[in-house]
Amino acid sequence: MSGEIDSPRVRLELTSRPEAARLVRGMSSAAGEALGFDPELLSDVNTAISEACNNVIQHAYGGEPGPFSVDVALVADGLEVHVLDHGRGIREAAPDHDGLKVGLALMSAVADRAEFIRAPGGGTEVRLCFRAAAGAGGASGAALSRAGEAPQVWQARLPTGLSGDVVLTVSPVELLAPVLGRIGRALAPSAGFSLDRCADVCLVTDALGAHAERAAQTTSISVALGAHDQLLEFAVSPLRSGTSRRLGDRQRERRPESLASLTDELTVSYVNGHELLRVAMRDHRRS
Amino acid sequence: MHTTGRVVTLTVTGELDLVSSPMLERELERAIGLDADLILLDLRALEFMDSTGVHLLLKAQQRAEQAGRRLALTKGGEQVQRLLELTGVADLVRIVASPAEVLGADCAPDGP
Repeated sequence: MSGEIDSPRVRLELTSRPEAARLVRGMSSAAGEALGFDPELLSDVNTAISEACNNVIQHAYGGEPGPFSVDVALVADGLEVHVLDHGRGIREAAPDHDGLKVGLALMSAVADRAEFIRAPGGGTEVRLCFRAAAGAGGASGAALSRAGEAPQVWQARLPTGLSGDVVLTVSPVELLAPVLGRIGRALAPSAGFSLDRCADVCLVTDALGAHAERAAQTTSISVALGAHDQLLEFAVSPLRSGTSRRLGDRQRERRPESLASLTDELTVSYVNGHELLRVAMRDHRRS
Repeated sequence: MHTTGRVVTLTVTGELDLVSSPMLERELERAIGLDADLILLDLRALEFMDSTGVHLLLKAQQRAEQAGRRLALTKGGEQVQRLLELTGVADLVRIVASPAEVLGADCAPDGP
């Protein structure tokens, strides 16, 4: 299915907790910077995306945690953002809420187009379109973008069987290292990691990004992240069969920056015929 | 938070959003309760603000007025400044280029 996805895009599936908007901003900033987008455009994207996330966090599920997803896709003339939840429609949930009104007005003010759609089966889909100035987006982004492509929500789900607090999917795979790095850094403190171990998280996300570039089975890759008490887990898939086993060989992988050296557990499994690499990091200094 | 003469300065860094607004709200309440004329929110190192921050600033302005205090902001980064302008906060709350602008005036022996 991933052969159908040519234009750069990133997707985060997460739970509507207060800190969720920060993870989403991390994703959009890292992807935008990697694709060479204009800082002013990115700033507007982050303003609008935050308001869309805040609406989900505060209203979609009555303030309780619920699932939602954010897609950011590079299209021919800019960026398309889709924020989708399965809760109550935001207008029904809080029709007179001042914060909601300001949020909707802000999204409409900074985006070139903002649409608020009742999603099929319940919930709300917010579609935001930002036009990039000519030349913005960088050569890599422009080259990867399919001209005239109709913006669509990235409906296709990778059959990886991944689950976690947060699931990140990127295409092309080269976007993984910068975007995963930002999200890993944002999650590490919530796992109670010390500053030293947070620095190791950056090395691990870089190593996972580099491995995915060599070993991804398709042009897109997914990573499920879990942050718990002194434990950070990453599960990466789909990878080509047989590409990850050597990573766990501590005899061969003695480099201090190798995954084997930086992580506490490294396992390879097969889910739905795809190789899945799972690594776990603990902060021993805290335990 | 620090006090210079009749001015209480709160320096806000990082991101002002759903996560951090409750903390700043508590600090602002404390500042408004102090014996000062002016509460200055220094936003120069603030990297990001969302509408939660906007509401907080408007509420703080209202609370300060009720308590007989004045509220001022130093200019934030580009995203912060754009948000303040789009939401009209820039028209409602005094915004200064640097703390010196108000510290000078409010600390002068014959100042207001």
